[in-house]
Amino acid sequence: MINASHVLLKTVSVFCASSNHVPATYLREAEQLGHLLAEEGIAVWFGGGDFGLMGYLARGVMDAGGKITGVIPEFMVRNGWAHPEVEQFVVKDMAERKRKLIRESDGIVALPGGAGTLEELSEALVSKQLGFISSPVVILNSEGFYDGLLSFFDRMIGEQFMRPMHRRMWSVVDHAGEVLQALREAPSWDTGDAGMAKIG
Amino acid sequence: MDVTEANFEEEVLQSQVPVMVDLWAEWCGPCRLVGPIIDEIGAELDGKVKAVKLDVDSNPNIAVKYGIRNIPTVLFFKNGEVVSKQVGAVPKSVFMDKLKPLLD
Repeated sequence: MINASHVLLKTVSVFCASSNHVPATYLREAEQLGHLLAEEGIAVWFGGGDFGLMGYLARGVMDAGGKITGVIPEFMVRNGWAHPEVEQFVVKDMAERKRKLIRESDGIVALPGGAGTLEELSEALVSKQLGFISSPVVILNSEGFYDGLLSFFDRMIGEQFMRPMHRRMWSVVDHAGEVLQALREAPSWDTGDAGMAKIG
Repeated sequence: MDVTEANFEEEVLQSQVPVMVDLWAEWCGPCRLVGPIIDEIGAELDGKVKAVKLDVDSNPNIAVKYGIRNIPTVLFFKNGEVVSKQVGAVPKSVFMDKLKPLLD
């Protein structure tokens, strides 16, 4: 018998793009993920926008009767970017938004996105590497979107910028339907592993 | 036996004997390994220890109150306080080792 446990998810943060002009597959996957999380009674946190994958994610959650909360900086609210139909938690700036989404949720999912999504994913992984969080991080690699980044991670590990054990910080799935299981069954991460973050 | 938020106070916190509470959920594979062990320990130590199960999906407030992040988690209570904890599917001997100091 192995010492195995599954992650109990009350709140999941989803990072994703706010562009409407991306391939429709990504939009559908975002909507499906929202639906699936809501059906499990998991509260969803996201960037609070109403465009692109964010808008589809929110629609998926709301159509399934779930709870979704935006975490959005003041300036975005002033610019009129906030999704009008969801509860919003207004924060000072981008840094505070990331910090809340990463540190106060039980799990993190990165959908396809641009520099903002990459920044969020990267901070989530660093937070885990440094032992600030132990939450599961799942990368939704729809259509192989993240293949390039995953190869880049391989190179970082190969050239010892990260340790092989750091691979356990993230899980990769191809479809929205696989996200929930990947979150629940993510490899355990002991925040005591933070001491290992320093590459000797 | 199963406990809920409704009878947690009475069955666990006010128990005269130490209580093992197995926090589990239907979707959790490793939880299925722990359930039978809890039943076995409850039967063997009947009268000395109470071994109960709590479904975290139906009773989410208990999991929040005790800061449960992973399941299965077994909480060991004595006189209404958590005195020990075991996370994950582990062999019966691990639970017994945690239980022993509570039986004195």
